[in-house]
Amino acid sequence: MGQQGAAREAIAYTLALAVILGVWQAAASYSHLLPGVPQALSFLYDNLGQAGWDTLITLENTVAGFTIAVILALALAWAAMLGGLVEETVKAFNVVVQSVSVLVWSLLFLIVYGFTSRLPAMSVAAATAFPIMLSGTLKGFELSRAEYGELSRMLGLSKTQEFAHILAPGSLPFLVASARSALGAALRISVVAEAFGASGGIGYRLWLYYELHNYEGFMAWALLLVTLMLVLDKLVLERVEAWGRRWTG
Amino acid sequence: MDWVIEARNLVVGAGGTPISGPATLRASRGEIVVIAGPNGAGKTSLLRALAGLADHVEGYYHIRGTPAYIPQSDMLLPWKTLGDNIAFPLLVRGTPRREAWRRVEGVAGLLGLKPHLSKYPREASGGTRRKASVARGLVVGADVLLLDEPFAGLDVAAKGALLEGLRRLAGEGITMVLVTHDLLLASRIADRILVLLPPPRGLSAEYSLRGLGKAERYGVAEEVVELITREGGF
Repeated sequence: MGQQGAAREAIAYTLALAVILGVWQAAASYSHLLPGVPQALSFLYDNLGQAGWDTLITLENTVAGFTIAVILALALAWAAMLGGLVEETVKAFNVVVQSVSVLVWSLLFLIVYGFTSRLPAMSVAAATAFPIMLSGTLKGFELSRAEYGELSRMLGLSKTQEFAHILAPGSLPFLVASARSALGAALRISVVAEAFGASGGIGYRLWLYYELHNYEGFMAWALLLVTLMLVLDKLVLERVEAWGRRWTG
Repeated sequence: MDWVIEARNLVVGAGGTPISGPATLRASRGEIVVIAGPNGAGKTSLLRALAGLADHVEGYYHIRGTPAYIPQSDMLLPWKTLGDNIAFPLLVRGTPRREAWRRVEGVAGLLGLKPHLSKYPREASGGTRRKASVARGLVVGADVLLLDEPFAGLDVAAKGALLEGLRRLAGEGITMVLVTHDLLLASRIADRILVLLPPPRGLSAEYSLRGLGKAERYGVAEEVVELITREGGF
């Protein structure tokens, strides 16, 4: 993106944010319960230490779940390369995992791990990120194989060489694009699991403030979550995706 | 004559519906043989069969030397530089990097690619990419090149440069079989033109261009085009 493009994007985001905050403020003036933007920001400022700690916990839960998802997706995509029934089974497994609701995952992992554990949030993040990563990885492998499979045959590459030198680097644009979506989804969903049963994190705090009728805290932490997602996406994930696609022109 | 390529009654797709052949052909060291024919005649299939890449092949064929198949799509890996692409077949076979690069520079010199080795494929012209694809085939010591539509998609200048590169390779003793629709161009370097028609007719005519001048070569190319138009059912 050129300088002009970056400036336009910054203006667009500023306008979008202004519209959302404006609607929020307008709604607050009609509601006895909903705090205004200044009150929420003030609450956040007064509790920055807690906000930082909760952000760290949520990020840890999300990244741990995402890492598990990436490892599982790569392993299964590698297995799918064997073709035949294994490939079909991996694809079917992905469809089944995709069809399970996040609510079911959240409650299921709470039943398995119990309340106050951080494992449900991590597991839900993993269950959310996994099908996105697996779909992207499989698509990347399939397209790379379609484009360069003949080259592998011409050069007599082994399966391992084909994976290391052609499929893995050839799939990189798909992997990083999927990773961007998967990490974003994992972050959004892990806070749901935190809300259901955890002792820390942004989701836990959102639910706690809601239960305590502390709506300033609730809106402040909602703002914190949105800010975290935007910062993560624009400053980290978008750059990683651009790096992964650098040779595609 | 000592044949480098010899095929007798080669049929591709045997057992089901043949998709190419029968073909009987020979090529000697340093010779450039052009295969022409209508779409669907099985030219690419014949070339892939000679390269050992086709399934269900019947008949006899033998190549005395190391063949390299150069597909129509250059299949250069976009995340590697042209130099690394050319070195790739050597590196995956365990050749030390220094030795691989020595050989890369050797073939790059033959094809005028040396100034482009550090470029990525997207930074190179179509002609340069095609030459890099040829160089990748040559670097493993191939002495027989099987080229599928090497001029397709190239501009006039790139075609001329590639043509010159191929002529130089033939001078070095590299044997080439070219499949192309660009007969006027190919006739400038061809020693022979073979006409392949859809099965069951297969290889049906052969024209020698050895010792002919430019105008006569173009004349033969025109004659081949007329034959293909007539026999190809157009």
